[in-house]
Amino acid sequence: MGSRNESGRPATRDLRARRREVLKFLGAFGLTAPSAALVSAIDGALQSASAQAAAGQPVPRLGVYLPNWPDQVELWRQLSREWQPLGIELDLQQGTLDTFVSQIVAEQKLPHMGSMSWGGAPDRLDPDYFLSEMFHSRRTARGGLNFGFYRNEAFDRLADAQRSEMDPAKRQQLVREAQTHIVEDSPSIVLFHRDIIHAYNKRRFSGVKPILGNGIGFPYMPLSYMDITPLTPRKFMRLTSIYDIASLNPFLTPEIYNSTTLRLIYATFTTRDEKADVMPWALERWNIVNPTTVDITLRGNTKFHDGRPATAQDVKFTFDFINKHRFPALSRIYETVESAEITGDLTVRLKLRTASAPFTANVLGYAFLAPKHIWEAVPSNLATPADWPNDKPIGSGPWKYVEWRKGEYLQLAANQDFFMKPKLEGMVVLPVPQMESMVGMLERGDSDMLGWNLDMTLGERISRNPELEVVRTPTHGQHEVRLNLGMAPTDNKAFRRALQHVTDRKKLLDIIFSGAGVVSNGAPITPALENWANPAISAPEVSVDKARAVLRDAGFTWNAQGRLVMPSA
Amino acid sequence: MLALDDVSIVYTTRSGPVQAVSGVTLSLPPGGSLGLVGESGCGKSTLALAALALLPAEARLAGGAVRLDGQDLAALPEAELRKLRWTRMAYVPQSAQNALVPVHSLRRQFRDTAAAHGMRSAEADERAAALLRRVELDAAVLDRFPHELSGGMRQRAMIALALLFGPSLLVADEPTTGLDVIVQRQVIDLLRDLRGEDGLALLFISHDIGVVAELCSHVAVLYAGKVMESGPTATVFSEPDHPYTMGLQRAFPDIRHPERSIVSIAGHPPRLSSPPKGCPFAPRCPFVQPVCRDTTPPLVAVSDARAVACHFVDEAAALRERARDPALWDEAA
Amino acid sequence: MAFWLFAARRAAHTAVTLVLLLLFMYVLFRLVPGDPTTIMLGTGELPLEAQQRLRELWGLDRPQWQQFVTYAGNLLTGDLGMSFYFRRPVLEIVWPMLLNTLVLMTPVVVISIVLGVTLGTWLGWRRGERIEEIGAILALIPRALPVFWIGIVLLALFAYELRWFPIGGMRQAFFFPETWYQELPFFDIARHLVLPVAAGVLTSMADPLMIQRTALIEVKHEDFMVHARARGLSEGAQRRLARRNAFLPVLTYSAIMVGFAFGGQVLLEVVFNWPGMGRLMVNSVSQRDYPVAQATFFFMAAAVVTLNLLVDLAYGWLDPRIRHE
Ligand SMILES: Nc1ncnc2c1ncn2[C@@H]1O[C@H](COP(=O)(O)OP(=O)(O)OP(=O)(O)O)[C@@H](O)[C@H]1O
Ligand SMILES: [Mg+2]
Repeated sequence: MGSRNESGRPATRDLRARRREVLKFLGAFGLTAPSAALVSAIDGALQSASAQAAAGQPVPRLGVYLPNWPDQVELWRQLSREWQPLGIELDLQQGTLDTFVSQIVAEQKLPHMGSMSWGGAPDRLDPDYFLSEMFHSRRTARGGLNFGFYRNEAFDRLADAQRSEMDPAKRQQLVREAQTHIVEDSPSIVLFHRDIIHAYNKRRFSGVKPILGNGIGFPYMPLSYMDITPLTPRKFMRLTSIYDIASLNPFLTPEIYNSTTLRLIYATFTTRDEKADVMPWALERWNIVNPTTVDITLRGNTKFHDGRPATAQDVKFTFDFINKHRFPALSRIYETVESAEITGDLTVRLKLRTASAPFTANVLGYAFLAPKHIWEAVPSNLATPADWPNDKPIGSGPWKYVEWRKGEYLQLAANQDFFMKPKLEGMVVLPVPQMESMVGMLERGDSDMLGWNLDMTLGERISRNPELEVVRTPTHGQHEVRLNLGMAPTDNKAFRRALQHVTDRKKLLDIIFSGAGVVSNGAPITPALENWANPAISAPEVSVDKARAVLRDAGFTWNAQGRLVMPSA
Repeated sequence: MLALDDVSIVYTTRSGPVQAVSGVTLSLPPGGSLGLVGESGCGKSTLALAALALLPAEARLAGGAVRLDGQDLAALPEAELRKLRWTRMAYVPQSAQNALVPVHSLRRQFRDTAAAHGMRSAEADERAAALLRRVELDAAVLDRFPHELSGGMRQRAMIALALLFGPSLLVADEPTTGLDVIVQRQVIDLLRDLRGEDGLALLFISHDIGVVAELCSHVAVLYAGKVMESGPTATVFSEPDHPYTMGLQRAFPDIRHPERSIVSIAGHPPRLSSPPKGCPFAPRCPFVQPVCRDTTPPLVAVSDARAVACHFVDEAAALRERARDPALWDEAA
Repeated sequence: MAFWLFAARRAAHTAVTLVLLLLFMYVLFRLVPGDPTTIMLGTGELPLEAQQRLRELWGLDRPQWQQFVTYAGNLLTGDLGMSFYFRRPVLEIVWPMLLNTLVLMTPVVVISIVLGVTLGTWLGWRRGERIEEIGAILALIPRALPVFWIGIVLLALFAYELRWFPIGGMRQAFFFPETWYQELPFFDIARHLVLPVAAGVLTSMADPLMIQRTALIEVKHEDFMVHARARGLSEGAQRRLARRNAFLPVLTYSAIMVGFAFGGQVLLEVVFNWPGMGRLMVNSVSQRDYPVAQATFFFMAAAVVTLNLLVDLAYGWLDPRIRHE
């Protein structure tokens, strides 16, 4: 079977080999070395994956893709050991996030399994992301996140239903039920939800607000900066981040750090409060008239940073503008909102293309109020207004733009006209590409808040400093091992369930992240999201005997060398 | 003027010490001229450098003393030596091609030399122009770079440079090597004219005894770092007392006796890193006797002016007779 | 006259080299798998449909040759294209970083060369002495250590422990001078420069130093050096003469060093958080931001090639033996 495959596509194989040659050659210039190495790593993983398990034969080495981050390497060192008693061997292939996206998501080349960690972006607070995006059969298409090819009609129905269910109680039921399928079918081994660890200078500032999935320093949730209060005469706070923004144009970037930072300037219509509940932000309120009609009302007396008042005109303009230009970064908005109609000075009626339960959180919480008088004047010779430099961003958010020096700092000033007044006079965000320097700056007092994920060792070092405080916040982001249901033996449900029983989540979290996090109950939604987590689900019992029993019951055997053997046909 | 007293010089090399010069005693009166002759590698240049206190770091004065006007050069600190150099003793090196600074014009080199001894540029320029005329060069060459001059011009410029401060001693180390015959002639004529002028003493080094005979009143024949024979040029070459001088003399065409065939002394000079016992010339000497291989003959005075280092110096006249036979030198091969 | 002919021909060669380089780089970056929109896909931030739309907007859906024709056409008008990542004209992105890099690399290169040549001359002059052996080893030690490591040690010592210098960055976002010397212009940038420049010099100095030392040792044995000594030149004058004559190798090397300085030093920039070309170069490659990547490499290559040209032309002037036929 293998040989037919090979002789069937000599041209492709040839081409790929040749491309690898070229890449290797270029690698000599140090330019493309990582990419070339990665392509061959993935190809290697594919080869081991193509060695499919045959009935009655020993299980081949299982191909594993893992990102080349230290914690992931440690994870697989542990898992290789823990899974040994089942008589299986792993073939580990490391890659970057870049390869993950291009090879596994876009090209769908997942070997038997792959591990990944998903960050706690605000839109992922809605259960729709970790259910539909990751496990709906529709998302098995190229570029979809269901790259392990899980298909279950019953689950699909529940996932679709919860998405259009506007009644929160009913939706909760559907979401909880959908999770039971994931636990039962085991398309993924959800491991844990690692805490976000940030730190700040408590002698200089108080009023930090830890928010689920955001910590105290990420810009994802604008609420987290609102109550920060200076304790010394200096009224602005210096915050360090690994990244810098790339653009000041809010229509351009889909990248989460950049887009959320710009939304400090451009107020979104809604946002999340400390309990992760949706709350009005630029809006005063919203009203769901029916599943595809939503009335929204702007706060009275809203002013843009240039002093011009914001009205329903601007709201309508924003949605029309997005629909007209179909900004890729804002696809979820134009794909949901069909039209916007002015119904009063401050009110607009939105017509949706389909009913969408995450609408208030993920569409109104992502869309921002854009000033009509500025964006309608953008020159039309550009391919898209997303290419407009927008050097002086004017929004209506709690922070006004002051200055951005690329690679040096972004300076923001409090908008005293915002309905909720920041207690700081301003913020300076300093991009520092190195963790050690970030910690050093905080320790020396060159920065006031460290807004990037620390590990526990650094966290402990910082917490010994009496001026500094380390804050741990749970997140809905998660670490998982996705299993490929498109090939043996991971297509075997018993095999997947057996892996669950030999995966000690608590121990892994302890070893890798010093226990800083929440152990998964096996479902993709963190128990910390009480509204959506299913309390009836608990993590599978950790027991080698149980795992072997599950395998034995499904017809797996072990050969004389102790190697796991596939059930005979 | 210049006196070398029992001078020995050792080079320290990776493969051990090289005894380049051993026990050489020479003297040069003011206005006098002394020729140093000998085969390549016999230590002529080493002696020249020692006379100027210019030995490289790897060379060491292992014995004896070099005196300039009675002053022991080895006892002088570098700063004092620096003052003596070029004002009292100047040097025309073996290769003018490489001895001029390639990246500087001649003017710059005259000026730098002048500045080193406190002479101002203007004066240096003036002197340089005069000296260049003296060596029959156009003053315009001052603005040329060394590579822009012909070999003869370079050598003459070199001599002009050496005369900048009117030194009392000029050491010329094979100044005519690599020049064609006509140019050689010009340089020699120039040196002959300079010799004795203002009391200039000339230490002239060459392997060409004809040139030495023409330029120098006295000569010392060097072999393997030792003086074999020394004395007035006229007598040393007309009546050589040392077999090596006899061979050397026969190795050059003699215009007075054009019928004589040219011989070459068979064999090679000994390796100075491991000098043989006895007379250094013994292995190549056609008149060699057992005693020669055992005992080193001392340099003994045979007359007022002449000294020879040979066991058989008393039979010199007979040996000279036998040396006329070209076959003799071949036999020794 | 011969010189001008030579110069013209060498300049023409250089121009052709640069054009070929541009072509080569264009092809090279397009051989890397994935395009900039793939990066934007992220972990689900951008759906596949939106990625396709992005490709259209950025002209990446057109055949390669058409893209190239557009690129080449724009080049002729001095337009290096648009950055995919920043969505700004490439020059607007590259210029500030190039300036930052020059602020950092100018002192690094100048001090490295001056110190390297001085110490190399000194060591070469003292050839054979114990001090020379020790000196040569001392000079080579920092070169063998990664600049990253040197940077961290310097930071640990002078920034964390002694707190004499800032931890990184090019200037403090809001610096309020407190004393008269802090009010001096460039005080803030200068104190930010000290440690990265020191780290850069420690690593970059060894090469010119060793080159100069070797060249000097060779020159020292030239006949003209013996002659210079015979002429009674002072030791200082002799050493200067040796240095002048040993200058060509280090000059050639320096030209290359200066050229590469235009590309920044990525490790130095990362340790000291200096927003320069090195980081831009590495980031633009990993972000598949070809227009920026091409421009950064091109700037660096152009600097190297041009400086080489200048050195070639200067050779004849520095060493009159070299003629331009
Ligand atoms: N720098 C040095 N290091 C070691 N040995 C040397 C050095 N210079 C000269 N010698 C050795 O000393 C001996 C004498 O050399 P010197 O240059 O004085 O000879 P020379 O008579 O001038 O020869 P030539 O006619 O070739 O110039 C030779 O055996 C030579 O190999
Ligand atoms: Mg010689």
